[in-house]
Amino acid sequence: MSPVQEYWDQMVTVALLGTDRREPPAAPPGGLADLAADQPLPTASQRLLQQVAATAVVRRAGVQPGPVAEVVAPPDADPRPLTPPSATATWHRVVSDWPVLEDEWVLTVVRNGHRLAPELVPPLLARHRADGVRHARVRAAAGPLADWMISWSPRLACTSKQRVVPELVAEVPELPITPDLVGLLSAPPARVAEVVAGGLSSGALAVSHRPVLVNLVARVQPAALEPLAVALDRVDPSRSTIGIALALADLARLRHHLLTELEPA
Amino acid sequence: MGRTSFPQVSGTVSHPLATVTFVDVVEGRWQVEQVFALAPRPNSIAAAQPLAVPTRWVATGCDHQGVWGRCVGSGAEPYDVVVDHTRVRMHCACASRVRPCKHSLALLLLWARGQVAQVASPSYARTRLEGWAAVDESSAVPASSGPPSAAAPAPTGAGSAGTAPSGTPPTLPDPSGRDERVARMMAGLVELDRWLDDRMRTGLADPALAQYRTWDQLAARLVDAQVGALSNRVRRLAGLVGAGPDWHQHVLAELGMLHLLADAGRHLGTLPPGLADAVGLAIGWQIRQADVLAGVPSTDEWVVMGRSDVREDRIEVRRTWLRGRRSGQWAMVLSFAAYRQTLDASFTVGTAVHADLFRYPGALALRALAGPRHSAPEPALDVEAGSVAQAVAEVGRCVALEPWVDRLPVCLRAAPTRAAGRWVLTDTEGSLPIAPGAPGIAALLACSEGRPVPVTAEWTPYGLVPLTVHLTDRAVDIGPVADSSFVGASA
Repeated sequence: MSPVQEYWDQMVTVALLGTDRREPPAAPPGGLADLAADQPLPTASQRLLQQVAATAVVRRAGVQPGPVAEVVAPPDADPRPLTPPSATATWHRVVSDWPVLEDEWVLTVVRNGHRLAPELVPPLLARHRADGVRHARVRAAAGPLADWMISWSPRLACTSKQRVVPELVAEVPELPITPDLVGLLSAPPARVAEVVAGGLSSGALAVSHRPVLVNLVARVQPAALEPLAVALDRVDPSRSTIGIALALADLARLRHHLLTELEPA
Repeated sequence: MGRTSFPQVSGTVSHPLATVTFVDVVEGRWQVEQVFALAPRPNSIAAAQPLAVPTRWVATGCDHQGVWGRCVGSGAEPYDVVVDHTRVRMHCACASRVRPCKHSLALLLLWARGQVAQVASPSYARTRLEGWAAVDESSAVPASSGPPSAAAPAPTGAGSAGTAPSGTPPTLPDPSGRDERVARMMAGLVELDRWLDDRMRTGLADPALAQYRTWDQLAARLVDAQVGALSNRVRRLAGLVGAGPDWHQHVLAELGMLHLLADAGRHLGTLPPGLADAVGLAIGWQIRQADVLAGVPSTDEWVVMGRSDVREDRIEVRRTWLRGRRSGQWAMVLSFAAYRQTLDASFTVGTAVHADLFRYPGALALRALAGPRHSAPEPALDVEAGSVAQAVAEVGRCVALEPWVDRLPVCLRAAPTRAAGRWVLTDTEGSLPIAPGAPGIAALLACSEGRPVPVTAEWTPYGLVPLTVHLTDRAVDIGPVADSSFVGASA
């Protein structure tokens, strides 16, 4: 242990007890002792404070590198291409604005042969650690990096005791949609746009339908997304449903964007 | 306009830069050496020289009593400068604590070189000169008369606008309350040191230290004393109590830093200029943005190296670390947001922008204000990263300049790994610890996959805080992010 470190430890002890109970230690020979000699102070507390300040500066300014540490073995190679940087931004937007799309986003990564950008692996593993299916889906998207990360950071491991069924991992979960709308999932794009935008314009669909309409847009066939967004933009602004129309248009566009963005090169 | 003959002076001026003997004065105008003799500090003249050119001034003029002009900075309001050259009094609208300031010296240099024309005085100069004359007439204490000589040493340290260089007290009431503020700050620093002394006496094991009220009361008193930066420091220090097994060491070191600042703050006038500026900023001396923007800009291709959001009391603080491509110099742009306000998101990590930065004064002078941007941001993927040893050496150099600094930027090529129970960044020469609980460790590990990568980090006394991983195709921002429920929409 260096004399300065030893001196510092002694001062920490005195500072804990207080100079009313214990005298400060004598400074080791050198600059600290010179300081004490050049600026003698009348009380023990003042002397300690002076030496604490000076020693703290010496320790910080004189910081030295620690010993060389052994580097960790990297994870196994994953030949799949990374998701593009723009997809990282899209994921952040999905999570903050339309989390209903997240399952599809992760599955699209897997289905289209991408692997997750590494910076997304820790937050996605942490986010879904309590859900066995979603956690397994993230691990599939992240590849060997996921298990490697979990080995170094066990808090990223799955905490769910639920048995994971592979079929569930490979499919987007079903979302509740009312019987009168469920037929639109496979209807022609123009029909979807007509029913949804027309219903919001005519009042047949109201704000109370918002949850099922969100589910519908999140699961409708991709070809219907663009025409639907255009039709929703044309809803009469004076209608009370204009807010939900614009929100659904945004959802449709974001889903269309994430699907096209992750298409295989 | 008749000219008043200047009292002829002969003698020797002792100045840190030179010893000059002068024997006469031509038609009342000073000689350059006499201006030099007024300089309060060795580098005051060096600071004034770039301003002593006609292009930096508008509406200059002189008469038998005074010299005046407006010093033009870059983009800020010009400073009104008035000098009474017969009784050696000066006024400048700048906020410098050092009097005479560089603007006053520059105007005098301009005048001494014969580059100021005799014209009728404008109203602001006339008012000032007449005010000084009126005070002289009613005062029993005469102001110093004549240009500086060996018998009239230049003052140092804080002084109010209009301070006479002979060391006489200010002759005009201080309209800004500057003196009152300085007195309040000094009293606050004395009280802080007394409080620190009490802590040393009673010990860190004193249960009172575990109560936030103890710290909060001190912080509130420091706010009252207008040393707000020290108040923030005290509040941060309160959070260290009981945080981790080594908290006594951290708290003790920080108490030492507070003592250092309290002591240095009480001796600002005796410190070298850069250090005095740094101490002033560190204790909370306010510098107007206009004054900073009046300085000479640092123009460079600024690479946005990292970003770090930290909550300080009720304010979210964003530090954006920039590094000049040409100069290699670091700079820090701060942004503040109270509840539901937004932080500046105009600098994107991993991009570079050709821009002007205006630096605050100081020994390190890291803090800067962003000035005009001359180009749109472009991706900046190729960054220079040093070794661990180089980073440590740079930190040591900076800490020696400003010992109380608690965040410094480093960019090093190193691999994250575990050693002695904690995360470190290591290369083939050594390692540096990562601050416990730093939020970017997992992302750093994932992006690097355990291999050496260029990393921008903030050095703190408790370890490195990783901010950015510079990959070959992108820069990944992994710095601490503000709580989105506190600040408004910010990137």
